[in-house]
Amino acid sequence: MNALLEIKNVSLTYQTLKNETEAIKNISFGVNQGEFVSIVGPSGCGKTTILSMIAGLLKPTSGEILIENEKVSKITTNVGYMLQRDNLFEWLSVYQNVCVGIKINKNKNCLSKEQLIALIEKYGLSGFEKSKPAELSGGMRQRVSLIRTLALNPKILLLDEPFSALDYQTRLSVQNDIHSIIKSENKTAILVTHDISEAISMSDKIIILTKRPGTIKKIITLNFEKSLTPLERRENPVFNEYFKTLWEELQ
Amino acid sequence: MKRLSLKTKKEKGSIAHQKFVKKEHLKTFFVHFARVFLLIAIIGVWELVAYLNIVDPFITSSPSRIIKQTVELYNSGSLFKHILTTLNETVLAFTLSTIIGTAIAIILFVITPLKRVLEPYLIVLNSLPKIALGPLIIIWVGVGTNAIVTMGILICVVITIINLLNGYLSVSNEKIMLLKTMGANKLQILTKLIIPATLPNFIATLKINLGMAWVGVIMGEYLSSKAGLGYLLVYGGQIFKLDLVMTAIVILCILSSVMYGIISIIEKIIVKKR
Repeated sequence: MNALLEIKNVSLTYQTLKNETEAIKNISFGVNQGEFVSIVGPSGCGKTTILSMIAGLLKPTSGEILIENEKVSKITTNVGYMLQRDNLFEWLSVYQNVCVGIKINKNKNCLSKEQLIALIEKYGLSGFEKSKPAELSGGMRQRVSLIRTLALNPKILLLDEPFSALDYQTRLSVQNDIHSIIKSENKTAILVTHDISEAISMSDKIIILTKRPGTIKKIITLNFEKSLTPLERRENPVFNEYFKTLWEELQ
Repeated sequence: MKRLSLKTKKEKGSIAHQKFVKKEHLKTFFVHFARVFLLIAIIGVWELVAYLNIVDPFITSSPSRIIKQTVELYNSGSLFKHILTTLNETVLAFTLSTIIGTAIAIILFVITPLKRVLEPYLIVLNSLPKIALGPLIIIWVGVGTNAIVTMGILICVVITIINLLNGYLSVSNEKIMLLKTMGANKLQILTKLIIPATLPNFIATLKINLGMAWVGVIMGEYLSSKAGLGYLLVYGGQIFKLDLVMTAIVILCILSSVMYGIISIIEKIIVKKR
């Protein structure tokens, strides 16, 4: 079976008036349905660039990206993008925020109203449908942001450091929440992070990039028991070993 | 502070808190009292010094003379003619410049190359004293209401465009990108994000615009007019009838405050609806 997402020999060079910068060089990897993959690497190594290309926001200079064997050539709702900040619209209620994408796509391939309400209830936001984002905690806001992304029923979720704006305590619990949501909805996700322990606690597979121009240094497959939550993984003795390996790779 | 103390009033707290609330209420009351007192004092002193001939009421006029003048205008049937003329011109200039300005700002935002081309022109137009265009306006659109409204629009429209455009450009790129990843087109980005996100900026622009519209209309009436409060100001000045000038100024104060008040009410309704 072919992978859900395939990145084949992709390179990208940014052009500016002053110079050109090679951000990504000859990267290839695949992601299977239901897999949770993290991309780690030094800052400026092109992690976000990879996500932007998968989302169709940027075109690779060479190589190709396939989703279900189809070349990514424009932005589609196959891919849901979650950014560092939740970017909720302050003037809309929680429910209206969740519906933003649905309205834009005029209900095509989206979750139904009942499914949405079920999600809102399932992830502890019932009773807050009419609240404004300003009334929610950081963790709740990220959950709203995730449901807004899920509402378009994407095949692949792209997470661009979605927890880095949260304080440590909240971050741990939101990682747990988001991980369990993604797993229970059986979604495929790609997480970009600079936090090694975050990558280990959440993913099935970690891709380590080199300094700019980013190339793949190593891909590590994590062998945790499937049922472990990110918090439980952190308590597992294997966690520290993985941490050490990653730490050394990133030096 | 005011809202806070009102909210806490319902649930009586400790004695210390009650004391605090009482103190805050007293402070607010004092501010209101001082405001009213200041107005009464100004009117009183003005009237008194004019009455005692410490200053020449021919030059300074006086509150009682202003009232007399107003009644006189009312009896001659021209009071409301002047008020309505100016009010009509101001509302027209304000509305038209808001519509035109918003439309241009949106076009410039959507068509980025056009914005880049026109930027220096906007800056020049913004710094140009619009009164300099007076002679041209009169020749091009004719004297009277046309010239006055045109002057009002010219004064408001550039600042409207610049303010709104800056607001649009300040919307975070991340939010725009987010909508793009959801498949939004430019129009949807505009209606779902840019316009609602910059609503507070739009209302602030309306408020500035209103003040500018008054400036433009009075300036226009200075240029050429047969009626209106600006006309009364010029006419009163020419025949040295300062009662008339002062009366026009007082009426202008009242009218512009009322219109500002109306916009504030609209703001409250819109913000609530959001």
